[in-house]
Amino acid sequence: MSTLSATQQRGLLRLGDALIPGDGDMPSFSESGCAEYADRILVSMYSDDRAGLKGVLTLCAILPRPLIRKLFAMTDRHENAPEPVAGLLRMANVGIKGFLMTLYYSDIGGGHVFSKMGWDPVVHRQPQEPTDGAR
Amino acid sequence: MSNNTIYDALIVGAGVSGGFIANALTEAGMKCALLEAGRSFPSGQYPDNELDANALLYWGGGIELNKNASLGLLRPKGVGGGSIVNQALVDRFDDDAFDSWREASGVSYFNRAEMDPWYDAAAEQISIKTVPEEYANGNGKIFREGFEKNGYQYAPLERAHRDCRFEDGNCCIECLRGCPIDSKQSTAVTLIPKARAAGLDLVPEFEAIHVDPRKDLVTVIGRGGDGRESVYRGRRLVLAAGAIGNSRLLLMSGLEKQLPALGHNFYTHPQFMCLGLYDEPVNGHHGPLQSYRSADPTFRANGFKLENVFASPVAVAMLVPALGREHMQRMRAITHMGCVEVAVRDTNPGRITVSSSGKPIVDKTLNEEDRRRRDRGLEAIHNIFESTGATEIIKGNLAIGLHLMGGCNIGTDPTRSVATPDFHLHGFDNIHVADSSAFPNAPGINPSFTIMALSCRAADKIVQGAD
Ligand SMILES: Cc1cc2nc3c(=O)[nH]c(=O)nc-3n(C[C@H](O)[C@H](O)[C@H](O)COP(=O)(O)OP(=O)(O)OC[C@H]3O[C@@H](n4cnc5c(N)ncnc54)[C@H](O)[C@@H]3O)c2cc1C
Repeated sequence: MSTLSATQQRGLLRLGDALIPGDGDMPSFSESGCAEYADRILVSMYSDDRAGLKGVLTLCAILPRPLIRKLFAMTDRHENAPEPVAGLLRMANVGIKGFLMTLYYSDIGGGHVFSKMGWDPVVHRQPQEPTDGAR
Repeated sequence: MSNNTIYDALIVGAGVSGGFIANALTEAGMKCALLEAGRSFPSGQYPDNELDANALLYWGGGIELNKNASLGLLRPKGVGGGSIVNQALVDRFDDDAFDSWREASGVSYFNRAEMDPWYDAAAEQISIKTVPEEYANGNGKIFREGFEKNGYQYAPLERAHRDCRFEDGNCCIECLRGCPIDSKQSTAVTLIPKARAAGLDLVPEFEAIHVDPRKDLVTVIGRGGDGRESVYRGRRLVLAAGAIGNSRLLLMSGLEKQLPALGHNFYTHPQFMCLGLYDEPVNGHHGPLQSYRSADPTFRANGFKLENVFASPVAVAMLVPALGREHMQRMRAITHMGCVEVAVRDTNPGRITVSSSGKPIVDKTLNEEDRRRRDRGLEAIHNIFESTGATEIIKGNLAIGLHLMGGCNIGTDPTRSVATPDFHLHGFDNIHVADSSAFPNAPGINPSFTIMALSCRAADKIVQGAD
């Protein structure tokens, strides 16, 4: 997680666990090990978006956990707010949720999230003949 | 590959249009360079997880938002462009789509009789087959049954693929990150390798950031993956960077004064995905991702179509409401979910501009008519889920735009369009465009086959002009 400072890394785990606390055999965000891969998304983001997200993570490192959840829940209720406030809430909601859900539900941290959901698509990889353009 | 070469043609963007045009020009004996911002993936080596796929195969880390964050834009990146990640459904436009294009653009060849030979020319280059109905998964069956129970018309799907080997249990949802067995007919496995064999220079990880259009020589300045700038020169330039990519590049090059309609007339077929929960397993992720399309004349007349799709866990997680444990419990039911989406034939054009840092800014909303179209579609989805026994229905509230069209629209009037009917920019004989950015409005039909057809037609024009 080298793109993130130690504070932001802490913020990421706290925010992640607020949204993905674990359930039965499904690991929590921090238990899943997915936070390790945050850099791989961050580097591909536009710099303004990355800066905004880092700001949120810094804040989450210091805010009390119940408040983190409350603030996120507020962004989730964007439909009740007037524009342009609703737009800002939507932006925060999609940005934060997109980042965390991509990390967790890509199932790359060793948490075996997919097997616990029964998510089992496969493609058997025998190579095909090269395409010849024939219909 | 030397930057000192003066190419016959530079092509920016190695997606659908870029692949078709690069191949046609190279086969006609022109020396071309195909410049692509994203990476080139060797056969079978696409990202094996969604995080890396979002980061490497899309701009902006997976999704870009419009100005008021009501629309998520999926903009593909990489050699093959949209044809790597798309569902490869290929449809010819109907009379309605071409009639509305003719009216919007003043271009007379927008009709089936004159476009059919170009569809045929495109179809000769790739393998197109019907998705075999016998492998339809639970989600396909819900779609079919729901349509039948409600008296809606549906039809099988034509798809650009060779052999997905469904009999082996292969699941096409995996191919949204690039087809690991090269069955999907992306330009990365069809036209681009063919063109390279004929002498095309492919330059991946080159993001064009400035175009200098002189009469006899076009210069394209770009940035590599390492941030270093380099320059390519050619006698002509083909813009094939997609709707947002072309507008962005021309705006960054300061051409909006010469091209007053640049970045305007942007459409996306906004899509709203809905989930239905069932007691029995649906397994919408198994087998073919889609098996049917809506073919109901009432839907068409009302400006929407329904798609028989399923989505990855990340996308489903974005749709599912609730937080914390409740959200996770719903995610556990993913194999019991059916999924149908409505795609709106949008009437309210958007506008693309760029920020000072070069980030595209998209101003695009639904007007009353578009919302009416969406709501009619949502009503039909509700009927489908309800009549097939769904216990709960989740309506997606974030629109997704993945048919990005316009910004450099073709037309006869230089004040209201960017490109001429002969596929060059108004006032710039040596800059051509025939990709999704050239669409005059939203056809309400999958765009890629028409992009291929337009690209074949444009390539023919370019070759004739070069003689
Ligand atoms: C998930 C998904 C599913 C879809 N399913 C279907 C479907 O089933 N049927 C259908 O018809 N359509 C589908 N589409 C839409 C279809 O893929 C696009 O309409 C089509 O790819 C557009 O073709 P294009 O040539 O205009 O641009 P693209 O294929 O998008 O190619 C543009 C290329 O230009 C590159 N580029 C952009 N800017 C620059 C720059 N500055 N420098 C260098 N390179 C640059 C991009 O990285 C990209 O590779 C789908 C799209 C998505 C995202």
